[in-house]
Amino acid sequence: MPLKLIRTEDDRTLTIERGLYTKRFLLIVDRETCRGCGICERVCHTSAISLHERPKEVIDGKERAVRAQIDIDPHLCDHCGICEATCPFAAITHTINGEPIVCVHQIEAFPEYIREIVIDESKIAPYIKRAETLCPLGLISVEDGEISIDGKSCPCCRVCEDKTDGAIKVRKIFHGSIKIEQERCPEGCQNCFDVCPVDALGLRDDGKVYPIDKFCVYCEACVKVCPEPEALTVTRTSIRHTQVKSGAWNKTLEKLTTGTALEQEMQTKRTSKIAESMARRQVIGAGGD
Amino acid sequence: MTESKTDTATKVVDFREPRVGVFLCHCGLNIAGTLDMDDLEEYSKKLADVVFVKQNRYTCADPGQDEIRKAIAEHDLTRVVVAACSPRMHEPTFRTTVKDAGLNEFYFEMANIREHCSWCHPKGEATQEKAKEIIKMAVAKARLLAPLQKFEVPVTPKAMVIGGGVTGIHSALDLANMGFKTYLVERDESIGGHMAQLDKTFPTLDCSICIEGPKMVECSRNPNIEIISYADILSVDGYIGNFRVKILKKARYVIQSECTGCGECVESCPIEYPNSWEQNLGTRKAISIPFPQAVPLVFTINMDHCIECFMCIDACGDRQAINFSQEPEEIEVEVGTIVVATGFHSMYEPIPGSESKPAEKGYYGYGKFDNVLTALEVERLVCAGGPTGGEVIRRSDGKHPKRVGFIQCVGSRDINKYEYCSNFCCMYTIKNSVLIKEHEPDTEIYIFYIDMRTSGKGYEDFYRRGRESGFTFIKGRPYEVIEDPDTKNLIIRTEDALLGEPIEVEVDLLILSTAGEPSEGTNELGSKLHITRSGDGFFMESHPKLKPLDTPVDGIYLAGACQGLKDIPYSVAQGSGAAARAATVLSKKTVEIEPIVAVIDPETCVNTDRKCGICVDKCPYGAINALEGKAAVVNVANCHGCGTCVASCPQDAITQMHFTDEQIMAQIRAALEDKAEEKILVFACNWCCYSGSDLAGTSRFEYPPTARIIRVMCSGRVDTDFVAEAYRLGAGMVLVGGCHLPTDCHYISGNWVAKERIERYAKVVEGAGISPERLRWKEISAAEGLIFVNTIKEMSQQLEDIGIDKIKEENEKARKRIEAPLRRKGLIPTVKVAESDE
Repeated sequence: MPLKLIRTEDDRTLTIERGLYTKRFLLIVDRETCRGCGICERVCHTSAISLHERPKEVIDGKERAVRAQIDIDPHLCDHCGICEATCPFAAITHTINGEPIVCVHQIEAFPEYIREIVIDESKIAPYIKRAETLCPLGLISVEDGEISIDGKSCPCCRVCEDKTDGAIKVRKIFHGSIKIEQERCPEGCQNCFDVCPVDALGLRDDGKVYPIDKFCVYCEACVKVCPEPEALTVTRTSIRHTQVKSGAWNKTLEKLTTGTALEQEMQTKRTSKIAESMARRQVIGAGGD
Repeated sequence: MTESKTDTATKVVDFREPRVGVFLCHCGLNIAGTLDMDDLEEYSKKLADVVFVKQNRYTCADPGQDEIRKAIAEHDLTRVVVAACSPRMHEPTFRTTVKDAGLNEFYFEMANIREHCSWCHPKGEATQEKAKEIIKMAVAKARLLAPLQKFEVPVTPKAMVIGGGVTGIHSALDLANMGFKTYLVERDESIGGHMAQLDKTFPTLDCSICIEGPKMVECSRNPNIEIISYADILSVDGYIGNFRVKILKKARYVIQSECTGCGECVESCPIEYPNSWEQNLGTRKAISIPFPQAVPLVFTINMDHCIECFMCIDACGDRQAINFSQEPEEIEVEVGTIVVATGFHSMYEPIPGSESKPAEKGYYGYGKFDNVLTALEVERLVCAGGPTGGEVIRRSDGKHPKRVGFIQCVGSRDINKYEYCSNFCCMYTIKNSVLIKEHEPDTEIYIFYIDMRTSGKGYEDFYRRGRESGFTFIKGRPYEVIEDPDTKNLIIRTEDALLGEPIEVEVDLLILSTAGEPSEGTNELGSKLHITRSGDGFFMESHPKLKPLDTPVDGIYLAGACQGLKDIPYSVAQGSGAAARAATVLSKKTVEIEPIVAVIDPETCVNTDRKCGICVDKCPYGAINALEGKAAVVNVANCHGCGTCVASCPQDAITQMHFTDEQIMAQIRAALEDKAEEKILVFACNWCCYSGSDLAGTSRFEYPPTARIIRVMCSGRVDTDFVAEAYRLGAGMVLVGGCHLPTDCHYISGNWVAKERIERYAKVVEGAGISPERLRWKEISAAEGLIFVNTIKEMSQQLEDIGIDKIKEENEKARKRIEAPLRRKGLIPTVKVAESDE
């Protein structure tokens, strides 16, 4: 049998397999780590990924919204790795014959996010004891008396920076804004609050939700569960990433951010290109003289 | 030039009073064994205007033809009727004979008493009666024949070969080497076809690509060959010597002239997708070639998978061969002949673009069990250039199998799938067994077969070699294959037909010899070329014995597996053969085409007074112009002679040469003169229904001798007046037979017009009181001899069920309404004429 295209699912993972005689491509989604933000759905070039709303669950006697869940069509998935490269939570893993490989990273067709997390060793000591409470995603732990951060999966919300008074310094991956028009919010709805992966939404006394801009990672998990269009808007204006020259990335950037981000990037690239060619011309000119 | 020829062709020159000679052919015992020839001779002598009758043992042989020439001279014959085989067989022969004797070749008519009579009815009175009437119908038409001049049209001395497999390659090379510019059109990215995918070829174990590769390169180097690859045929217009073919060149996003084939772009591409050329066993990049020896060596970007990172553009650099804004390009080429060599498709074989489809679930656990493969997949595994580097391994554990099973005739010789034998499977199974054994000498081979068919040159020796190598041949078609869930081994259950007992064999790897089937798109291409397919779905040749490379369309030839499955040497021979057939046309400056065109009488056409234009609408070729206030005019160069406009003209202003209203009416009257109520009058289109009726005869299918068949070029020619005349004369049944809808019609859409017309007229007939089953429209292809027979049987039964008395009664009742249009047009002959006929 030459070609197998299989989707398997268990409590924790969704696995998409493209099995050839000589090669086995796997895409594994960690359902726990996945926050239902839908970035992968936006960027998938074959539209293989879709997001599904899920019914509310009762937790501690209270009805709570549940984050959206992704599904992937094994017939459409190209195993290109764009979703893995763009997932801010690192919920997706690709393997070829068991080796973790992100195809688009292989030849720098895609950038990596820049996650800048710096621990100030001189200030961190007081916080080691309560390290586990510092990160809303539980990515900070203590190993051999030293603080350890799983930076790979960090969406860079800066909650830890706040809690440690700057002993941990974090720069965000995404920049942008979040707005809630509370008058549009349906009475008693706090869906967005329920699903926010970081502590970027707060609850007022009157039950209305308000955004805390400094913690927001602009992932849009909240937008996916918001029942009222326009009540909640998230915009990304720029993304911090390693520099690459790739049309696919430009397209992705266009899908993920407002147009200005791409424009800025292109402008920067153009300027550097002009500078480069000026420099070259000077060299040639010098040679000619 | 065309115009002046048009004039002579359509003008009735040198019309001569009928002096008919009838030549009765014994065809050995083929005709004389069933029919009383002396009786036919006596009968023929009494027919109107017959002045000479002669029997021959073989009229088509030289002495027979001499007799005709002699008689024309001695008896001043002006019409010749040969009562023998089908006109589809020997009409061209006898036309030449007549022409040699100084008579216009269109003063000839055939009476088909072999395929339509002696071969399909038993000896007896009714059969003898039918033969007489067939001759009578032919003489009646012959009396009214007019002399015509064939058109001479210039020939474009270029050829097209459709399909770039081993057959097409040889065809193109031969044509090019004869000096003709040849377009080799290939659907896929590279030429090479199935042969390029094979590892070794039987029985000599030559490396397949090593012997085909140089031929592929030769094609690309030959200045007379233009390879148009990655392209689809959009449409084919025109006729022999003058075809216009529209081709869509799909976008490769790589500029062919700039691409050097270096392959640096592939290194830079991050995306892989399953390579259908490798049977989806391995992958290729989003920019790539399907295999290293591809010709033309031009890379292609698959936009379904490309993420547009443009890394390849950087890799390509100054060569600048990549163009993401490339569009598909439509081109038109003119050629004189076309060779169709579109090959076959192997069952379960993935086609390009099928990456999103997993292997289909098929026979014996294919697509379900890991270690079940098709033979074509094994070709790729056993090939050193394949995805495993020549290792035949199991999918489940990557190990070499120690026991390999082969099941033959998977899908072939199977009434549930394909009834035919796929021709090459026995041989490739022995070859693959030999190769596997060569790679791993301790492998046990089990071959499950129905019959081993090794009838080519050197093939039997190869089979013996297999037997001597210790392969186990088990005669029997396995009824079940199950998988051991732990070992993933396959357990094959069958009855050993030689031992006569059930057996069970466990193997590590199972290989299915899957059937070959018509290539994807065979049907669509067939309708663009107006060539038909036989019952097995492959293209149909003009004659199974004597015209195996010709199609019913002059100037279009068949070669290789698209006509029926065949192995490499046979395909190559056919490729060269078709090239030779094509060259017979291309080597001349002009070609003659039949003057069976439509001509409009400007006096009768009413478009002069009011806007009519019905003929313009009905013409499938847009060959008719009707300017306001002027009589419609046929552009003879575009007219294909179907006659659809003729039957559609409400004024009967159009005449189809050689199939005039008068001639067909005369045939109808001759057929229905006696015992009309007991007969089925059949109007059969030349290409489908008439050929089908011939096939019924050739196949010796027996059916009641009730049918009287009138040949028309297209069912669209059948005028409702013909049907009316049949009922007026008391016909029991009328059958109009055409090509299958929607696309089989030789003239694009004549059958649509016919069906609509007959179904509309059926309501009139029924309204007049005639039982509805007495007028029938039936689509019968050239391959459907049996369906023709069954139709006649069924109608004969209905005829009997209704009963002669009831038919007479119905006809009498309907007479007034049915006759009205005939009477209005003055088509009913006066009594006096009718009497003089008798």
